[in-house]
Amino acid sequence: MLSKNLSFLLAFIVAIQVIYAQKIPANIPENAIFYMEINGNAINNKINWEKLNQSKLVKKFFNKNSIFKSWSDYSQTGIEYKNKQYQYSTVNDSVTSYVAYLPLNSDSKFEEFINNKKEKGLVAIKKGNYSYISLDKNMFVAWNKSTAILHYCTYQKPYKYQDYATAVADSTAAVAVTEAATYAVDTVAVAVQPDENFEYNQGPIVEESYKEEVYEKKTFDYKEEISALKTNKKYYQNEIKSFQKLIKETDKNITYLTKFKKYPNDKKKKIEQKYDAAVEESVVSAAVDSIQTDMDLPYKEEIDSVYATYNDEFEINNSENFKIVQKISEKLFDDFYNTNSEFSLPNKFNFAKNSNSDIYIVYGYSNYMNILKGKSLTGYGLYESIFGNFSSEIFNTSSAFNIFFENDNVRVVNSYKHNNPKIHSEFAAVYDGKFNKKLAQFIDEKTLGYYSMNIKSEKYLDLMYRFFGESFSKGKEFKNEAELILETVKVFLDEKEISKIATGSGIFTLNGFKPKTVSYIDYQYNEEDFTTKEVKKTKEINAPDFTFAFATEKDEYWKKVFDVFKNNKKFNKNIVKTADYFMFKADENEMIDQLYFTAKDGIVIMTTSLGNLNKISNGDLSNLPNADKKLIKNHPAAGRMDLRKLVEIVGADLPNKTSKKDEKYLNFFKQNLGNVSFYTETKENIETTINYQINDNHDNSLMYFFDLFEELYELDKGNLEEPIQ
Amino acid sequence: MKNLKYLLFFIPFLFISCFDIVEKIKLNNDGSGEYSIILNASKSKTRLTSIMKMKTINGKKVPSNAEINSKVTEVSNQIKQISGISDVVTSVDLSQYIVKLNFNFKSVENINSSLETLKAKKLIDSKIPAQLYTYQKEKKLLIKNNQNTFKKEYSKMKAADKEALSNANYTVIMQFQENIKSQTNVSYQVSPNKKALKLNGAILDFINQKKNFQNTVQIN
Repeated sequence: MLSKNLSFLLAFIVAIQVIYAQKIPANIPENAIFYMEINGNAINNKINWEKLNQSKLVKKFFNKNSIFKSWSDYSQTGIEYKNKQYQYSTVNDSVTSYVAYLPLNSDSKFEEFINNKKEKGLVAIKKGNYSYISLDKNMFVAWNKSTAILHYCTYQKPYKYQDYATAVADSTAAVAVTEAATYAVDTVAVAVQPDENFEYNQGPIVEESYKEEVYEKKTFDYKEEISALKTNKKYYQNEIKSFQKLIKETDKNITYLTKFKKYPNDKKKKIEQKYDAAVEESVVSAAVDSIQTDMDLPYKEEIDSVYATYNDEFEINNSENFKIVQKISEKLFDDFYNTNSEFSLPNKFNFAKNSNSDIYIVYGYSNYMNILKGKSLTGYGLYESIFGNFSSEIFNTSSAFNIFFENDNVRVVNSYKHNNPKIHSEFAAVYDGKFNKKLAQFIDEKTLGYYSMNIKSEKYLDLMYRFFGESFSKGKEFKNEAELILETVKVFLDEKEISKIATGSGIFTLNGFKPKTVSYIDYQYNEEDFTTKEVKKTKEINAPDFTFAFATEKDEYWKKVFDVFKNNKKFNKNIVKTADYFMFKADENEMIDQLYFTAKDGIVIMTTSLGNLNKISNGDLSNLPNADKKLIKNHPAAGRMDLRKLVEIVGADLPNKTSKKDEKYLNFFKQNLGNVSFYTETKENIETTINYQINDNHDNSLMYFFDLFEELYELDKGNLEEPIQ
Repeated sequence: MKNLKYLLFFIPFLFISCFDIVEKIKLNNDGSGEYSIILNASKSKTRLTSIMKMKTINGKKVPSNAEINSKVTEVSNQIKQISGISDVVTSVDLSQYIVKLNFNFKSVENINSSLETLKAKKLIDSKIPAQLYTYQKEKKLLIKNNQNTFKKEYSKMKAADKEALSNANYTVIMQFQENIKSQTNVSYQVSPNKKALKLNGAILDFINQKKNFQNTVQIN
């Protein structure tokens, strides 16, 4: 009998599990590869609806790209923006789905918004306690009084892998395939948006229409023809702008020949030959501007009339796919609307969730790897034993993003954990490096940006052994052999000695840019008679000034490496060796002038500035800004970049003649780009926080992105090239 | 801009935003002469050096030095076979990124034939008009034709490809044995010795039809 304390403890644990088996109004499948929660209330408070409604970019998007016409007030679409939104995506062998659950505050308003379609009105299908329509051949939306579901879905026939039964064993795919196979063409009277005519007859009618046009040549080999046509298609794609129409027509040929193994008749070929000749002889070169337009294409009518019947073939395929997608969507809607309205969220989609974040995202890497594994590795014994399990093990992880749109900063926190506790603890051990003073001194106030890392390289090898070990232990046929290989490798590899070569601390700093004089050839014209002559000129470009350095316990090893480079025939003429360092003198056309490198006092360094070589022994951190000191000292990986300054310096290197457009874009980026920094720390998970600091000209960091795209759109729209003469 | 794709194979050259094309024709009274074209991307050689180390750029394959040389040799060999053309000289300087083509012709029609040949061999785009020049020997009238600005093709280009042309320039030089009596396009500058014409402008100006190559030149 358990003690009272233990019983209470167990009950408490169970209760906690029940509480945290979160109930949500959306059915998120366990195998989703992507999951997102949008904190509606937080986001809604940050959106400037007035700005959004007046946005020219939004209007342009809706008028050009969207299914819907532009709307006067996007805050009034019937969607309850203050509530949480749930979205996810699933991928399997044949079906890719994206689902968004949208809470509603007015189903009639929502239906009005849905009906605000560009071309024609929609007729909703009423099914029990919900309605739905198709927005296009891959997108369906359903709604009831409280929730709308947007479902985007694509279907393709499963590929025949070696183990076909396994590949299609996935339940959703199997359902779709089974139902498609038994699906009769005319069984569903679907009042859908008739962009395409889905009501047609199948193959026999198409075949009958070609009965009189059978291609009689007995020696004709349709396979060769298809092969040749496929080759031609590749050539056309190289000239895609010119031959877009030809590509389309060739696809029709391939599809038709695949089904009917012949062309319809000679007439089509003659028309094709005429068309090709016209292009070859540039008969239409005088109207070359219009040759690409359908309206001006010669022989368009004749070709179109012959190919008109090919369209049926496409329609058959498209319609089958549409019906399958429709079936899948209906199942999704039925499952949601006709059952309990609360579901348990799988625990993996609560991983590292911060309830205060604006957006929470989970990537199901392991689910995705299972899909890839099913596609490519089925039936390969040893390969699967080693690499199949290895890749599964690598991606057997939990990863989540919490995104915060603060007033003047966007913060993205990525949490990562390996689901195998043994592997995760090896991972965490890698990040247990020590702060290296000698490396930190390469950062000063002038540094534009840097990336600093202090990890334990010895532990990295341990991690790899663990990965392999765990993978092999799950192998099928060759488990013992694989494990023996691993043990043998361990015997031969001395990870302690290997880690001394590079201990795991390193830094890359971009110190700025240095002017470099480069010569170039220009042509001048004699004033008297415009005779051309070559003239050598010079100009200054901005060459990056950077340092890359890492810690080592084997200075002499690296000196030998550098000696090998020095003595190599290819590099010999460019490398100079002095008592203290090596210098690589770059060719004139290279971006950098020279690169100095050496290994001493436990540091290997490559730098464009000779002065940096002298810093190695000092360990003087007086020039290290406090903010950077705090960042590097407390975190195994950290970095920052001043993007605005970077653009300013790089932009100064524009060609001598700068267009007004270039100037405007440059000014735009200078005014709008901010600073980005990141740091990694190991807590319960491995957490990386990225901060992007914006300037203060925006309502908040969410509207910053909106303003950015709006301004870019205005720049792009309003700019015509006005090069300086 | 008729020669936009004449040097189509110099893809990396076109992916920097600063290059010049110089087209020169030196015409004798009898209709023979010398023709040359220079693609000069030397101003952007630092960028080009980096690009040439890449496998692709903007989705297009970056050719190797050997491929570029081979292509130029192929063009040269094709042009050499054209009757009326002689002394074909090409040079490829991949340290300065300058490519030159130069040849003598017996008649300006030979220049046009060279384009036809290159189009037939698919060394240049089939949409490039072939009739660059017309010369009426009796009247001593040289016509430089402007058949296609490639405005429509340019409008369909991707933004990154358009960027390649944003600072590119085109210069046409025409030199004659005798004085120029008149011309129809005043954008061409007349030399002080009155025996040469020069037209210079941004390639985009020609594409957007702010400038025009078309010119009918009457020689004395």
